[in-house]
Amino acid sequence: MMLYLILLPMLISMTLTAFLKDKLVRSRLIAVSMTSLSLLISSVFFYVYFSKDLIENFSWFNIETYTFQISFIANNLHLLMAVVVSFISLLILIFSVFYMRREKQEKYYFEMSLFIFAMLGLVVSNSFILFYIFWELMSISSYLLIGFWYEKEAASKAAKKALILTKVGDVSLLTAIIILFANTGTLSISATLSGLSSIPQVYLTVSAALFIIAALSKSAQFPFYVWLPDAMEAPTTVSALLHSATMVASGAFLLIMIAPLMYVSGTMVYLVLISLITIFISSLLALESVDTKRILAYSTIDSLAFMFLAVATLNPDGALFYLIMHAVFKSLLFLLAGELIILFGTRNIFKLRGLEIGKPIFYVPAFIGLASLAGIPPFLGFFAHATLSYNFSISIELIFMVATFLTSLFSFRLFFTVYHKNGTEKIREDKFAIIPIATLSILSTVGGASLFFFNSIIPIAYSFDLFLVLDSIIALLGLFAAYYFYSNRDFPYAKLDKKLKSIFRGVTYDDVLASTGTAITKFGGLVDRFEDALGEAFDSVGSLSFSLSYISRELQSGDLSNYIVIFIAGAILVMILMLVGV
Amino acid sequence: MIPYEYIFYLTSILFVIAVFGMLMRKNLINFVISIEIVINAALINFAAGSYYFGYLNGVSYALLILVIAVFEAAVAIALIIFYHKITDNLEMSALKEYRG
Repeated sequence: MMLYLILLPMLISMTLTAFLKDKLVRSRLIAVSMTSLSLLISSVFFYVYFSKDLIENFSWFNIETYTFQISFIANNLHLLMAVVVSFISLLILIFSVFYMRREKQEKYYFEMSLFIFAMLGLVVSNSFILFYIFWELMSISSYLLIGFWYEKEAASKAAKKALILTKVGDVSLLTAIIILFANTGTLSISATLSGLSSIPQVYLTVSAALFIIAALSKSAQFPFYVWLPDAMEAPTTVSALLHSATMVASGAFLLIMIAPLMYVSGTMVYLVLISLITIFISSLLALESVDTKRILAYSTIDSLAFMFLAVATLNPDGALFYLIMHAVFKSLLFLLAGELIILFGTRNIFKLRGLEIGKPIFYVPAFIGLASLAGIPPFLGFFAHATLSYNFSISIELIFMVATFLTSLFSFRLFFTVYHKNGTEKIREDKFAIIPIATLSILSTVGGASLFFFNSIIPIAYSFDLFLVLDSIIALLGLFAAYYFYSNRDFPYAKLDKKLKSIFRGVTYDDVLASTGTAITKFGGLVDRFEDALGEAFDSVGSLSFSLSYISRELQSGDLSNYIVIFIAGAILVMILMLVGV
Repeated sequence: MIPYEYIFYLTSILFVIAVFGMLMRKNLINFVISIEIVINAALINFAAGSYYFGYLNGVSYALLILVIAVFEAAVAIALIIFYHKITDNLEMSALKEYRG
């Protein structure tokens, strides 16, 4: 077995596209073919090593007697994630051919390859140190991709914000890894998880809390969620990748992977609390937003909070199923948003409404994607809810119903505002846009049935009970409410929107901070101050080296006699030292 | 026969004089002469050592140093001559402006 083969195609793609500077068509071809190769390889591995638990070690370097190892793991969880990641990446790269056709910068395919490489590496690594390396690599490549159009000030600011806020998580992840390493003496993830009983409880709790902070910042949960909506300045294909299979999914994947550690740590109740706060903040903010991509960004935060809620209620496999389903329909939605941007040139939902978009080729995939997001019965989201909610207590179920209503309301607000019954637009179709969207739409429609044989891959618990019936009825209610409010063209939707805004004004970020008390306000200020302090630290390093050089350049006066004095003084000093016998 | 300490006294005095000259004289020609004196002080040390202890190594080093000193003087004087042609000046402090 050669598990590193999964990583090889993206590595080749990275190298080639990095050096093929001005050959856009060729680097596009390389990236797409290499991603399909990595899909092929991971599928073959998935087939060959099905239901096996294999670990592959290579020794990397030694420090005294301890050997650091590069370690890969092959079991159903990791290989399934590799298949999903490369599949979604392939579709998005095909869509990039359509979306980035006018883009002049060549580094796009290099950065995308780096991004996919980092995520693939993350899902197959079995060593914490390797995991951390890929985790950081993903931070860097997402920084590069969010700031892709760096001439725009908003883009470069958003990239910086994402980097700094996820850096908080990176540091806490590293701290957690060090704490575990100090206690177990091994960096292997599987060995750590099987040797949990030897670790003192206090270290378990601390490291689990740090892992949770890392996951929260990577997955843009409260209170770190502010970077994700701003990251919408990136090209839409990047957002699609960032939101579905990579970046934000890696936070949830971390918690799913180390779930045994989470459950002995006793921190789950806080995770429930944070997920619930995140669900409400994000869905209310999505209701208020008027930008297609921002609404989708808030919906991602919302969906990730669902996953965290499932992890926190001791149901990591349900979270994994939701993660995979979410990757499918969220990339579909982002690709649709990207199509609208390219064809109609705007992201504002009210401007899009004015354009009277109503061809089935636009609204059918959009309906499928948004219905999946809302959890309407035959689509993906419904099945995902069935397994997600398996371990919910009654109170969480009740709260979750409200969340479902809000999710459904903002999803169909987007749908009924943008799309129109009989459209008048004239648009040329592009096969590079149609193929991925059609594939993802079909998957979103019928893919939910995979729940029934998912059990043979990873043991999963689901139930179609009264709660689920109520949940889907509530989702449908949200649909009808959105239809009533937003589809009627004569309805003063702008007025309603203003009214909603005045009701929900308390949920914009600053207001939430103000109303939930000074403690959280202080935290928000702390994040800002942290950003400032970091900037000042960099400044002071610069000015320090400047002043040092100001002193040291006086030595190089060009005066020969000065040099001789220094030289002779040095020689005398050496002689004295030799005489003294040092 | 002269005791060999005396030879070392002589070379030490020569060395100190030369260093003094390097520090105090501001003329480039004087500077080169001082360097020559430093080198020759070392050379005499080698030769004297060779003579008193009966090894030929010292003399061969002395010969080597002699040749190197000649080359060094030739190069230095050539540079000084060109410098003088261009600037009409032999002051060492004037070299400061080249920031070397």
